Amino acid sequence: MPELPPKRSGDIASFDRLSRLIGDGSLRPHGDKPARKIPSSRGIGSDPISGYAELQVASNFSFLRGASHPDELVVTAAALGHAAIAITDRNSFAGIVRAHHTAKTIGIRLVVGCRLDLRDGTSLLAFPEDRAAYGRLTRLLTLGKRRAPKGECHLDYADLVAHGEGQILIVLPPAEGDVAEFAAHLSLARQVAADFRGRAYLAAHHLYRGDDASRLARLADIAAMTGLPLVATNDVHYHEPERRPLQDVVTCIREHCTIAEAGFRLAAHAERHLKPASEMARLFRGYEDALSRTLEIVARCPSKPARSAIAGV
Amino acid sequence: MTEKRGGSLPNLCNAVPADEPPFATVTASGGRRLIAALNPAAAKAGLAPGMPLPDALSFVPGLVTAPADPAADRAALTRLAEWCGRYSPWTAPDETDGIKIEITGSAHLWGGEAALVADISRRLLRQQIAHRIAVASTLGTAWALARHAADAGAPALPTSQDERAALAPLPVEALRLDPDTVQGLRRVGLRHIGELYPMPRDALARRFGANGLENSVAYRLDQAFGDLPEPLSPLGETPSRRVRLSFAEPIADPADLARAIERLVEDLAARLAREGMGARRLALGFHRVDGRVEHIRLGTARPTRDPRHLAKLFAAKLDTVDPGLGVEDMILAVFAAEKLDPEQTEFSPHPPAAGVTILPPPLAGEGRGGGIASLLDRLGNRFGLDAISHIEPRQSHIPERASIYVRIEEKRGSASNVIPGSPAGRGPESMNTGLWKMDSGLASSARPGMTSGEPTGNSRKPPRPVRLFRPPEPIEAQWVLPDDPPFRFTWRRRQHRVRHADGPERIAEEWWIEDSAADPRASGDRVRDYYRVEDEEGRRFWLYRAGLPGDPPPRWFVHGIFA
Repeated sequence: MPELPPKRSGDIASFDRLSRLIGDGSLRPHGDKPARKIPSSRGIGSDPISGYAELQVASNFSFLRGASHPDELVVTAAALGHAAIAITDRNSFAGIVRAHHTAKTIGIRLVVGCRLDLRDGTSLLAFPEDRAAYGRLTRLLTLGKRRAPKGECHLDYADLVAHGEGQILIVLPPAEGDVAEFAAHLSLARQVAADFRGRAYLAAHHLYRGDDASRLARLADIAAMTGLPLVATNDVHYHEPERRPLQDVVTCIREHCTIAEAGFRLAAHAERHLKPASEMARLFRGYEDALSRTLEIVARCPSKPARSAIAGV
Repeated sequence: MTEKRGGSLPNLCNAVPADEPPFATVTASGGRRLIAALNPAAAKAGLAPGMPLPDALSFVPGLVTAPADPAADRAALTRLAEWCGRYSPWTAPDETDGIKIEITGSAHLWGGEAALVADISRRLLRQQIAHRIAVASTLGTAWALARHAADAGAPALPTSQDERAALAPLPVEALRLDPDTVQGLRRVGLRHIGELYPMPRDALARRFGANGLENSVAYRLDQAFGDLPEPLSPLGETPSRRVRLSFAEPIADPADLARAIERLVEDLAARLAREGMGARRLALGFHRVDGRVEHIRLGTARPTRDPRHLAKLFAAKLDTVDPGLGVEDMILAVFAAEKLDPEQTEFSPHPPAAGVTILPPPLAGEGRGGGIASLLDRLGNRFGLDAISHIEPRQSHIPERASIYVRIEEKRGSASNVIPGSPAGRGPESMNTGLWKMDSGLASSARPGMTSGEPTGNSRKPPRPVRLFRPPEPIEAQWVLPDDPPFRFTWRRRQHRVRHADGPERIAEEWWIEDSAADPRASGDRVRDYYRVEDEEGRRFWLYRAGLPGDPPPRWFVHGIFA
């Protein structure tokens, strides 16, 4: 198992090698013995300039969406030297328990949060700032789940505002849809910016769809127009690229189709994995603020998850 | 009151001149050779069907014999029944020696039943077929009259009131009973049908109903009198619409046949237009003077009633028809039709000047998409529809798999479940409509963050070239950073310096398909990064790098060019 190369910013050769290792999957950072890796990763994670924390992570507790266990994700984030990792499952805190135990064991900071998919199609990430906000967020989820049949969660934006005190929000632009379309309907983004002043952000992804440069530029424009600062995430669905087949298979299960019929419902590539901070810095070249804001959000969240969260409420 | 008339003509053996020597066909039955059928000369000599051949030879030592061929007889009878289709679509062979024709509703086309019978008779005589014809309200009566009352040249044509009386003097065999039942009736002295009339019905049923319904006297009587329905199962499929054209003189010239086809399809088109239907499956029958029928069968890709189109389709197959000595009737039948709403396909602001004939405007199916349907029909009827494929979009991220050849035949069926991305497939993402959309929104720089804000269109997929190179053409490329486009590349021995580029669009292999053997060139590139690049002269290319930087070194290809 190859060791992570030491990080030297601006060193093209090592960075090239690293991206090659990550890209072709020969690097398996999560490994069997995660504890061995932590000392080396600590050094990278503490680098304040290129530090990065992945804030948009779907584990397999996002049912039939994520393809990795929370502990796999946490261990990989630690191995990659991330400052912290969030587990944001879809309308659920269910993955937090396992994530917390692993994070505590190997010593990486876990950010508690969840992804809210509202009934109008809006998606946001929510991170409670304190214990009380966490309670409100869980109550919000309970409310949504009681309204809906099993397995679903019916929430409206008004519910979010009602329980919104103390929540940090990240608005997710449509991943597959056109950003131009999103730009044309900024009322929601403006609404979020107004309702959650100072606590709302706009997520930016590097989708490898060929138009990422213009897409990022457009998102930056939207961020400037609405006052939602841009924050970089990788919309992680699995901890390593080798999980793409599993991710495709669970997608098929979710869509009730065979892999041959799934077509565009499958992702085109295997880029939705945890990436090292240097790789994220390369992808978001020119948007360094968006990267450092991940650390800002981490800093605003409680350093220790509430005990009740660990109890798995 | 509509009158249901059944016609029946028992077809005896070929009529022959009287000086013909006695002739008989012979069949083997249980080791004995029996006479199966004979000609009038042999009958006159005292022979009868069923007689052992040695006995017959002792009566008529000069008897000419031939083995009986029931299969050929049946085929000939079927052919003759088919030929009778010129009188009505409802024809069928009747047992081994007759043909039944349902002439309800078609007799008036010939000027009445008598005229129709005369026409049949005349044409059969021309084919040298001896015949006896009867027309009656029910099949049972017509059967009885044709076999027991009518004579050559003297068809039995009772009016419907006289039928009971006409039937009365006939022997009970005329009721289509089995020999046992006939024997039984004779034993009690009932020889003629008329003698059964006054008999109590329940007694008849009790005594002569034991041999099954078909042989029950009461049942047969009811059938003969029309108290029980007896539908005629026609030969083959019954068309839903028919147009007929008869010629005073038989025609054989292809040009004449083609003209006749034009008239027929025009008649049919007018009728279909009135009904708002379009034909999907048609057959054109050529009734030859010698009693044979030749057919041209057609299928169309979509409902049509455009006479020019149909005429073209039939004309293309006309050389498969052998008119023989001449065709005296042509019948165009539609076996399957579908709803086809009228549509205005032309707008002519100028009425045609007087005396100028204009071609009839295409009725329908010629409008949008009609052109391709016409083409498909013409190709399909010439080469077979299974020889034609067309390209359908398919949901695949791999560009060369984003379309698929679909056989026309398969498309008609429910092939949607095997073709990913067919419109029937449900998916959050609509069909790949943006795939072929041209887009000029090439970013002005390869450097992120320096792209111009010009709109990139509404397509969900980044723009792709209309045509792809197959296989992709390898190029020599120089580039710097892992995700960067090349700054220079050589394609077809020509160097291009990249001015602008956008990308990469990363496309990973479809891991569930193992086709490295099918396309060795494409094998090995598990990941492709696509770039749209523009060279100094403004030419735009769609390049991709197969594989990620490392070992083995990635290869570069041109996969298409943007027009």
